[in-house]
Amino acid sequence: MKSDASTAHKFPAPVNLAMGSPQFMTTRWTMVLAAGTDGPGRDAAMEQFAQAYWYPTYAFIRKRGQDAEMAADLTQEFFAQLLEKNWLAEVDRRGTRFSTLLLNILRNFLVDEHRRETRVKRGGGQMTLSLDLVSAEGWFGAEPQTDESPERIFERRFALAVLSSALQQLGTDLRTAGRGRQFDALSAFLSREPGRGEYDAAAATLGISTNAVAAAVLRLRREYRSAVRAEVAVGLVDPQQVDEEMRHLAQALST
Amino acid sequence: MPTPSPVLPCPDCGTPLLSVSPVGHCPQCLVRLSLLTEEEMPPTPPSSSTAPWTILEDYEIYEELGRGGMGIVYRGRHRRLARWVAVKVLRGGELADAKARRRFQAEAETVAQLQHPGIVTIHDVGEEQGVCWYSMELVPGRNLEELVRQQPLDAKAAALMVQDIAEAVAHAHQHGVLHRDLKPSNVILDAEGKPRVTDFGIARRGGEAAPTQTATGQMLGSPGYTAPEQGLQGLADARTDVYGLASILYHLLTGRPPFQGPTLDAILVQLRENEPVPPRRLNPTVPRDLETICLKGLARDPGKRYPSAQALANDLQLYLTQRPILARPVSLPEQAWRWMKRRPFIATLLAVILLVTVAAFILIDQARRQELSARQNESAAKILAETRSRELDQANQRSRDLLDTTDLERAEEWFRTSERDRGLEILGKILRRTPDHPVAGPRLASAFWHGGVAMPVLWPIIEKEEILKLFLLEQGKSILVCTCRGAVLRDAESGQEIRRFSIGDEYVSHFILSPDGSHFCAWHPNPNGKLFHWKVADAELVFPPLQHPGWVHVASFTPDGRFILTLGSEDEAHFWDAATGEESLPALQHPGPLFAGAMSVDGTLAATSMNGTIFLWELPTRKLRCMLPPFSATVGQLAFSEDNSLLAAGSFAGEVGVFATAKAAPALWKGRLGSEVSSLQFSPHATRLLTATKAKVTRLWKTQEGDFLGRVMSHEDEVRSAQFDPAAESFICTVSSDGTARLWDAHTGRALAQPLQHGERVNAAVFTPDHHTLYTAGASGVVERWNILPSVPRLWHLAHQKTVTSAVWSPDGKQVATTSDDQTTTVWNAQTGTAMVSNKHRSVPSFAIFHPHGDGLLVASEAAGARLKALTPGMPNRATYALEAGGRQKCGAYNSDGSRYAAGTVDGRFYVWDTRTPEAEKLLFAPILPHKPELSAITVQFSPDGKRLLTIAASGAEDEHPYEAKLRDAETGTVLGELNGHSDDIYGGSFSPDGALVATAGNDNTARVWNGQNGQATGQVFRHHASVRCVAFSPDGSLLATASTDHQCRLWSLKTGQLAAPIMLHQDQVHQVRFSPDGMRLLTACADGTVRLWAVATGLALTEELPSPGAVSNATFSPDGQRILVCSQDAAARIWDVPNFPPRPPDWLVDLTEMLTFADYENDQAKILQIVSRYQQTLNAIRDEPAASPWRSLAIRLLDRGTPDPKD
Repeated sequence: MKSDASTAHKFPAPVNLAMGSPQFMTTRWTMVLAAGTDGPGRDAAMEQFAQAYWYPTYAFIRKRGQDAEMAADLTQEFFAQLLEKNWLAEVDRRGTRFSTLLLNILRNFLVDEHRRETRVKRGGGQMTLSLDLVSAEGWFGAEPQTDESPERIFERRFALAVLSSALQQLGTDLRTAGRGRQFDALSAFLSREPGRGEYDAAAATLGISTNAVAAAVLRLRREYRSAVRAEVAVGLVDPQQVDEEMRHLAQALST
Repeated sequence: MPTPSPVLPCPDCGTPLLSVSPVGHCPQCLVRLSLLTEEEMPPTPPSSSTAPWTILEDYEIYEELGRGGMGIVYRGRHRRLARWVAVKVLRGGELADAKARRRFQAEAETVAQLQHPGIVTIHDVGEEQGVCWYSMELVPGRNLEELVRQQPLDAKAAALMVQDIAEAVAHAHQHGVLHRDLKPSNVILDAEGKPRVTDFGIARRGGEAAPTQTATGQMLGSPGYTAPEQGLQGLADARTDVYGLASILYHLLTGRPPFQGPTLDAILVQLRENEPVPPRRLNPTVPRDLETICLKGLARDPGKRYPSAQALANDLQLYLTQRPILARPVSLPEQAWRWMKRRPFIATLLAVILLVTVAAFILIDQARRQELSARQNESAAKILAETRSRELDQANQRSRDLLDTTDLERAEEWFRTSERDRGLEILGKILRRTPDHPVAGPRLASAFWHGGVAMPVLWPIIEKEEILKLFLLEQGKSILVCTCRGAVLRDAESGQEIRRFSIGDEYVSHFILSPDGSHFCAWHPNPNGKLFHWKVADAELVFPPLQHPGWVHVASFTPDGRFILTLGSEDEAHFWDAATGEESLPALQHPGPLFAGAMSVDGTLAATSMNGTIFLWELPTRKLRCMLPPFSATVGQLAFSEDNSLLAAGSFAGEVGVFATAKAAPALWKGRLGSEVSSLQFSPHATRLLTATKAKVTRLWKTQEGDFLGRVMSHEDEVRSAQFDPAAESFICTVSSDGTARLWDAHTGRALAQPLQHGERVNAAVFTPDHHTLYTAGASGVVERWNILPSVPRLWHLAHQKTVTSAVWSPDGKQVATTSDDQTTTVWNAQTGTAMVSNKHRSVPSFAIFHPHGDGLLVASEAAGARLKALTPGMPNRATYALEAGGRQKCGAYNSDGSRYAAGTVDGRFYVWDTRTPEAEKLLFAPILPHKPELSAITVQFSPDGKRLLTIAASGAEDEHPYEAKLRDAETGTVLGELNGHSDDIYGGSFSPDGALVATAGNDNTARVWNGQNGQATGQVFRHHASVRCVAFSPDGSLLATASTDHQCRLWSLKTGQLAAPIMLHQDQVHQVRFSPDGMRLLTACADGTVRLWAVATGLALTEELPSPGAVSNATFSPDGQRILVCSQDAAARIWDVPNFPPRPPDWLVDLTEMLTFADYENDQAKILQIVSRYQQTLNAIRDEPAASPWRSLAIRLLDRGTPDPKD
């Protein structure tokens, strides 16, 4: 008699439509990645993607010596082309890290001498990113003045973008799930332990007990962890590689 | 995007916080959190009703109860009312703008007004931070999806459940609210087990498409349950909810949604192109009516569904009260069955028919039955007498004749269909009206004699449950009757229970028998279903029920019986040790869930299907041999040929293909049927492939060519299975939901016997090894046993390796000689069908003729001319001889005493030999050369007195003189006359019996008659609409029969030149016509492979159309006229018995006809009483038919099955 637990659950369960936060995330990604899919859904997803990841691109281009205006133009153009040419198609089922892939695409894009001319002809592309040039230059100006290569900077900024994006996404998802107030009150405790009385204050805000707040924070941390992992896991053929991606992420952030 | 901020260190770890860091967070700390493994994460606190997660207006929000595409449901508690509720929070994105939110509010308030016991009530609607939510009753029970996870609901329970739901939905529709997302998980059972519909309409933006989808195929809706117009076009109306209700019914009955697929696209494609798998296929116990209701609700075209939820509820109510449902017109047998069911007394009597039949085999309570009979007879006879006298009064003789003839034609039309019982019924009526009708009696006899009949036999077995499968064990000594509750082993003669195999409250629907018949398995294809494995000998389970992961679609014993292969919804095909239940062999791994599977007869190969792809495995090594080119739809059926060299596959889309199993190569051929293939079987030697479909149609294919073979075999409803008899030579049996099992000729697909009526759907049929008995069973729970009268038609089947080119009777009719393209000549014993002498030649023999003395056979072949061989060792007075002509002999003839032999050659020359010289042959005169070189001899014939010779040569070319037909002096070759007058080629000619006339058949649409002495035209020209292919004089010389490609055979009076009988019509070109020796019957041969006998006097058909698989090239009466020899263009000749039945059959024939066809039984109570009471008497009458009667042979056949069936 066979009672192997590993196979016992393999029969298709009734279609499970439950979607946890990571799946919301995946949804957005897959919208971006879907080749041949048009429509507002994809554009919106791409917009979201670009908002999350434009700065690493901008920093990379600036670091390679372009002036602010040109870097802004190229960044705009890059994301427009990314969408139009469906360059991200290979992200799906990728074998390499996502940041490496994106960087390669970016390099190829920049190497192409004709980009600038075509950019002029195309009148800026279909999608217009609302880049906050002032902020961009502010942030870029605050970058440590080191001899780090543009690639290194890109990797680090990319890693930060992943963390930010996951945080933002988690917030969106929880608001959607009716837990927006909880997120607003408790997300501060994702990366740090509470100070004295902070949980009590949150409990008062939320109208629940302090113990319930502590439990909610734990839950929130789990959810954030899942969100980050989902963000890096996109398109990985082998889910085992997520841990590797996470280590790279940590490495890129270490000084 | 973050905003710039000054660089500060993280208070926890000291890392500088960069301006681009996530707001207020230290990236290092965040990464550290994310790097934790699952084990290192602190556990999420257990949900506890004492600690709410958060607050939503007046509600404390506790743990999640569930998630769906539209949002999340939490357990909640109203703070002031202290009432527990369910709070559903809708995804914000769906209601992004204020206008949409207002619309949501309005719609939710409408739904909140719905007050119905079947609808979950909504309490509050609200919005917080742009998120809409509502609170509703907290119904703590399971939802329907959870309810049927283990086992589908019983049909009645499911119907009741969906009826309740439909009424709740109908209530909502009356208030203008559509649900738009009906599915099992949206129906919750309350504390009393009543269904409550939740999630009403409000989640959808008013009037717009409900389900949205992502590109990966994650459907934010319920793809498997969504109506096509909603899923594909985003439209919804009340009928969309009808679809949803039907899909719930479907799920309850089968445990799965109507459509399943690994991706959304897969489901959408199915939604657009496929019909759902009928529920009964997944769960055979689903009643046909309920399935019909379900499938009507799931119709792709909304216009074909129930117009409203209430209409669906009403029809379910009709079903539940056993009244005819409205979903479709009810067929006749069903009406009859219903009628019976509503009148238990009558139904009981009818059941007696089953018990009483051929009661000689069984003793039952005679006295009681006789008493019953006598009582019923009295009243029945009275009614019958009244009816008869009324009829007589109404019709005079003349109008009755007309009526009879019209009815005969109608009967013939029914005989050409599969509804043979209607034809029988009409013949019975004619004979009641006109007992001495000249043709109806013999025709009815032929219907039994040639068309076969299945005589119901006592078989007093009625199970409580629907019977799903039958197996015969121990060479037919016992029978295993399988139902959803297990199986019963019974004695095949007495029906007595030998052993019972119980499964308690479990439920099974599929059964397999081990190759040696010592074990069997039963299972039901549902998730985690159990597979039971018994030893037949002791009713003990071999091992505890096997808990199989996933659905098992197919299970099969390996040929050595050591393992059980199972496959289904999993990616693996498993091998279980049949003795222990351990999975002792590695599974066959696939990239996705499987549907069909088959194992080769020798156990070396297995084929499995995943969607449209077929995997071919080598079992000893468990290696994938290859994947076969895919089908467009899921392959649901697979079958290997006996020698494993071929694999047949059938798909849901009706594709059929045959593959060579040696390597991955495209199909040898692919064909298409109208709908899903429901069964596949090769004949032994794999020359034929039998396929059945959901669309009522069964077909035979030529395995090599992929062409259809024979006729369409059709039922009135889905064919549940089709099978050959054990030798695949006599019968095909199909069982169908139309309440009948039917028998067909295994080579031509012609309907045989009467449809075997069950009243309710038939699930199983099994032949005894000698295929003389058939058991059938189905929903009625009755096992019926039928003695199948050997289709006896084909008395003998004289088989060669290749096309048979000629077949002749010996002068005494005791032997038959055949020549074949396989270079052999065979002499057969016409009494036994056995080959007596078979000679192999160096070249293909053209023809063979018996010497008029019957002791020698002359065979003409290309290499050796014509050689006479002795058939008996001491052939007197003659030696064998070889007669060599200059070219291949195409036709030849002896004169009446055998002293002369004449031959014509392919190059148009004619020869006449004197064969009396003992040592050598002698040409009488020099070969007669044709005038034109392209002519070829087609006929040479001696006049009856032997003095003249008719020689005909034709060219086939369009020419002024396309043929040469001459009368010659048989001794000198001198031309006596030329038969010139046809404007085109001729096909042959013949002397009249007295030699005074010659008739010829011409391509100019005429038959012409000539003076037999001098060849002068007599002026008699008989016309057809197309080419005349054959002419025949009647034995008395008064009539001429002509056969034409205009499908007609005409009979002319030579005296008047007028038609002597009505035209005899075939379905295709008539190529040949012959008179019987007594001149009473005509034999015609048709290009459609049939031959038929006709009454010369009336021109009416006396027999069935007797089929052969190929076009008939020659057909002749035996010298005594009681048999015919048919040579068709396949590798066999056939002898048919054609007894000459006189008019006016005995009463029992008509009685039996009425009993077998249940004539009128659905409306005439008196008739039923009559049938029941007369049944035994009829059987006795059959048995008592006097030995001298011409009907005795039929009586013997009906009771004893007559002579053994031919060996094919």
